[in-house]
Amino acid sequence: MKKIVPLISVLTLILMTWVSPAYVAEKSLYKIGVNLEFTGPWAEVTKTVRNAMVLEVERINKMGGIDGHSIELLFEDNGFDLGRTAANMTKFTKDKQIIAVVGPFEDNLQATSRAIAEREKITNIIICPSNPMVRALKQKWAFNIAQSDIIVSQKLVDLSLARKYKKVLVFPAAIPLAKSLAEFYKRFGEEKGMKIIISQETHKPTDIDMTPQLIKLKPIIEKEKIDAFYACTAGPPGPIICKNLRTLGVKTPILGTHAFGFGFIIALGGEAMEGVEFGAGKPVVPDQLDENDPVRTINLDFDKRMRERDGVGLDQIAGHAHDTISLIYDALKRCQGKVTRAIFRDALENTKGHKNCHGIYNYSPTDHDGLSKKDMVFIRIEGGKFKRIKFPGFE
Amino acid sequence: MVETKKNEFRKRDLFYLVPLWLLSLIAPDPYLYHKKEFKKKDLFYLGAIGLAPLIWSDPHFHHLMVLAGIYAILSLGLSLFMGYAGQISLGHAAFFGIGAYTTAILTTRYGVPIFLAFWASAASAAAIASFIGRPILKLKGYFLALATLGFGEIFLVVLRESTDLTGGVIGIFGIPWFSVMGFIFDTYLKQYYLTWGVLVGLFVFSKNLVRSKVGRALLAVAASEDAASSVGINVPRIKLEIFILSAAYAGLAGSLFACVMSIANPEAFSLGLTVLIVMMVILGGMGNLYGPIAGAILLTWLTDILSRYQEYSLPAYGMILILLLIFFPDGIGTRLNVRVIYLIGYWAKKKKRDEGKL
Repeated sequence: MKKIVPLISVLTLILMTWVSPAYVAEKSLYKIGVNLEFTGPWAEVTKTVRNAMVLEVERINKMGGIDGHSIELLFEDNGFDLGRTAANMTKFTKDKQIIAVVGPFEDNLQATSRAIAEREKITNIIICPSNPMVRALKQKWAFNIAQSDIIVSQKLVDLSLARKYKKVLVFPAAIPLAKSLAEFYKRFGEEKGMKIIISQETHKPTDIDMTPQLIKLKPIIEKEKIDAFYACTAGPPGPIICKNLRTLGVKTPILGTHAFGFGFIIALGGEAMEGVEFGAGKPVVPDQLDENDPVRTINLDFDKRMRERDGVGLDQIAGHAHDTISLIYDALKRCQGKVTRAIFRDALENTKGHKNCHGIYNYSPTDHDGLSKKDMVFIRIEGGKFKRIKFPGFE
Repeated sequence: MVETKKNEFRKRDLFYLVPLWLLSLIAPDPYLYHKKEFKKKDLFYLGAIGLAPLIWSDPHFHHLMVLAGIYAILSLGLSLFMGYAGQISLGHAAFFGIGAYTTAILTTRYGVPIFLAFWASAASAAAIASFIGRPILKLKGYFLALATLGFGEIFLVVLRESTDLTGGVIGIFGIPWFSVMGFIFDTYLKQYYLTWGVLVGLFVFSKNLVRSKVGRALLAVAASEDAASSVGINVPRIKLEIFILSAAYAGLAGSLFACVMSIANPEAFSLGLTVLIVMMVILGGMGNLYGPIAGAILLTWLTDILSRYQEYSLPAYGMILILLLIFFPDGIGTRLNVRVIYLIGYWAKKKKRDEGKL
């Protein structure tokens, strides 16, 4: 009797597991690796990315996934470190169920991850605007969600021209993204007859006070009668520069990068952010998009879901995160038969007219950039909120 | 009563002996074994290095071990300077960077074969170490640490500002794979054997060095510079020589790093790397050539394993380092057996101690 009871229990357990609906219905997972800077200067930004990606994946899985296959996200922190980024990439390539890797952010980290993706033949989706030099390195397996630095800089030159700024002082961060944005802004601005001065003073993404550099720049602003000050940076330094500049009594209008469209920027900078203008993606102002804008509904819907779940609205980077998952979902749906890394890559490359938060994506064998300048809008921070501004002839 | 005590003793003996025997296989104690055993254990390690990538045949293992091998070369050099000569350097990331950038510039800008660039990296790091070593090695203790730290920061500023040569903050991309006479190290497995081959070569060289007259002179300098000087050791010269040698190791490691990553960027050679390397030497055990290698492997794998915990990875990493420093103050590669006996004994006797019997 003593032996029969445990035997029956074990058999019942096995039987229950076997007939369980989950066991019957569950198909293999489509795994996506996410290789991001969860620690370091971009930690706050990457949290938003993670929340937005998880939100979208949960929605897809609740709808039944892709023909019963659910999507699973596997997150790894690269610690803003080249070695760890590369190690995460190889870890993801090892798991044959992982069909694509998202990230990293930084240009120098991207260069390595793109090289590994190319060698290991796995799709690498990059969600941050990056240096064209990096993008030109390896293109076959790498796809860009955001516009390149060239397009972002062209949009800001348009804004400067619309505001009739003739002289702009650029204060770049000592990071590849900012350096590249500053150089392209200077090139395109000077082509349009503007005078662009790139400051010799720089700052790091980890700096918490830029007053010493700005004190040195203040005489230049006054002497050169600068029309606008371009805070060419990303992450927390943006609002810090604005605060420091206003504390020093400089009233010059401030221009920002697309990275000023992150939700936490206004909260960090407070009143000093008033009047800052920049070009960014449509998700920054979901409720202010034109009624006939083809991506308005997508933005409003995702904004609503984000507010319901996380208590914060949609922003530039959350939009990129949404678009990443949406593009993956769309490509997976178009895959025929067993999904392999190669089949998935080909499907993603054949993305045509796919509507997303940031715009309408089109990829081709010669273009892995997806978005263009027309997918960006002009933004002004007003009353502690992002406000869309329009200029005839420049929109 | 006597019988019970005997049984307890036997059980406890076994309890100690099994893990100690296992640990003695993987972590020899340089103070305890004889020359014969030493050779046998080295052979065991060599076999393990050769077979490990074939047993764990996946790109991630190979790649992580390539990184660990590169860091091990770097920390081996630093260990000679810190552990044997008793000096402090917080600027070794700069020599690592000099090696990486020498390879990057020579191969991408001037088309120099990578094999030559590899040796040129060691030479350039050594030359710069020779240049800066003469003035800064006159300093001691904290002042030397600060001077080397300053050198590391100056190096970063030079990298960021010399845009034409170094590519500034963007860096240099597209560095070719390591190759010798047409044989390209284009897979992680090949890179594994390359890196660990270089490491084994440098290890054998270092081992001979520390057992030579120079090695004994280094130990004397570490114990007391005045005493070493009084017995006829040219202290400034020996310190400079070991500093140059250690920089050359870092240069070689940097060159390999550039080839593996295909990029050289200032961010990769910042203070964070210096701290990591110093931690590898300290956690591995100073004054011991096995220690830095063990430390490099441990920390490389630890950061990789913790990566999945995202924002919690950093606090967890810190906690583990603190615990390792508490329980292994001499490092995991130094007197490991003694520490393990203490730790196992501590837990084994805990109950009795709590009951007040000990």
